[in-house]
Amino acid sequence: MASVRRDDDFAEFAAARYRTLVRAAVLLGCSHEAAEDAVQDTLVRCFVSWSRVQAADDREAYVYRMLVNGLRRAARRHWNRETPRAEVPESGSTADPAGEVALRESVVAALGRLAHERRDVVVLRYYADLSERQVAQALGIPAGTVKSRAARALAELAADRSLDGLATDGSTLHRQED
Amino acid sequence: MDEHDLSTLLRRSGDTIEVVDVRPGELADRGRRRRRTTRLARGAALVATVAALGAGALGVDSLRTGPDPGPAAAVVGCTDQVTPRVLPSWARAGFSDPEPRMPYVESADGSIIAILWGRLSSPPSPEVNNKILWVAHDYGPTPTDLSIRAHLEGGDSTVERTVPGGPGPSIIDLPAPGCWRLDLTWDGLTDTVHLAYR
Repeated sequence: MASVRRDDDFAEFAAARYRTLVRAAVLLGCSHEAAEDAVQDTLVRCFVSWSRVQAADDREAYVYRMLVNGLRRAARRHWNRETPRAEVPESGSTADPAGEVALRESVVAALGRLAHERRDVVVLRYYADLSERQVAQALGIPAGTVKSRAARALAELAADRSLDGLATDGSTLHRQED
Repeated sequence: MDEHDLSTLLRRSGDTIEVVDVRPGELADRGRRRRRTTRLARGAALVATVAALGAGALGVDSLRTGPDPGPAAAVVGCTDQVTPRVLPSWARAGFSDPEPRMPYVESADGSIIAILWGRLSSPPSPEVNNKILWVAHDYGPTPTDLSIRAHLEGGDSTVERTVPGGPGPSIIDLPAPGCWRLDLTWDGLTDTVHLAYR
């Protein structure tokens, strides 16, 4: 019975987080395929160490810590983090009338121009919606460092002209003219 | 752009990433298979360790010096393989042999290994010092020293050691023989390794 409950708990845990974890991994710089691999590996590790996950002070911080460590491990093996782009993709592509791909590529490129430790903080804090304390636990850094990295990253992104108009735009990619 | 704008922007971007859901049961099955494999490996390592220590040898000539080993039970819990094995591919930097064989102990999460240059002993042997080469598979963004908090299993003794500059060559002397659990911290990462000192 205990193993059934354990499986049910894990299934609920994994199903509730899978999409967000994959998307977070992509925003952290992975290819889509590498992100899925990393998240699945993370969740398999969670299953193997389920008692530790359950006993963790904060499950969210714990699973993101496992994910970030897994991504670092993969990056060392394959160097599959994306290379920051010097140019932003053109907007209004006919193949992407809604501008969704262009929006994502602009954002991923802008994130890629951040130092990776700032990018990690930004994605965990503002995409995964972790608290400063949770981000600190996930990255193994002091909460004050989370705060300072987030502030610097926010300033950098605010100054990134490639994101002009995107932050407040509704659904399509428009760029403000100089 | 403020925090709210950034959060909104990232969520909008994230929502454009199509994700095909995975069946949690499939992940659980993979986890069960991995757990079985780990248990088998640990069982085999335990048998090999006890056999090697009981025979008074760790499998390499340089480790055969020194006093007779104590009872095998004294090191049970240190379940790691210490006979020479081919190092993992990520731990071979600096070795001239493309497939170097060394006695090494893997950490619990597999993120670091301890390569042993001689039989570990307490007090240190006059012939062979307690040289350990730490090779990490994972590194964090900010390099730190390797901090070691060593706890004697079944005892009260806890000591701390530091390897300046992070994982690398070290001499780790510990105050008593037995099975030591070493909690390792470097670059914001943590892992644990068990080492037998005689």
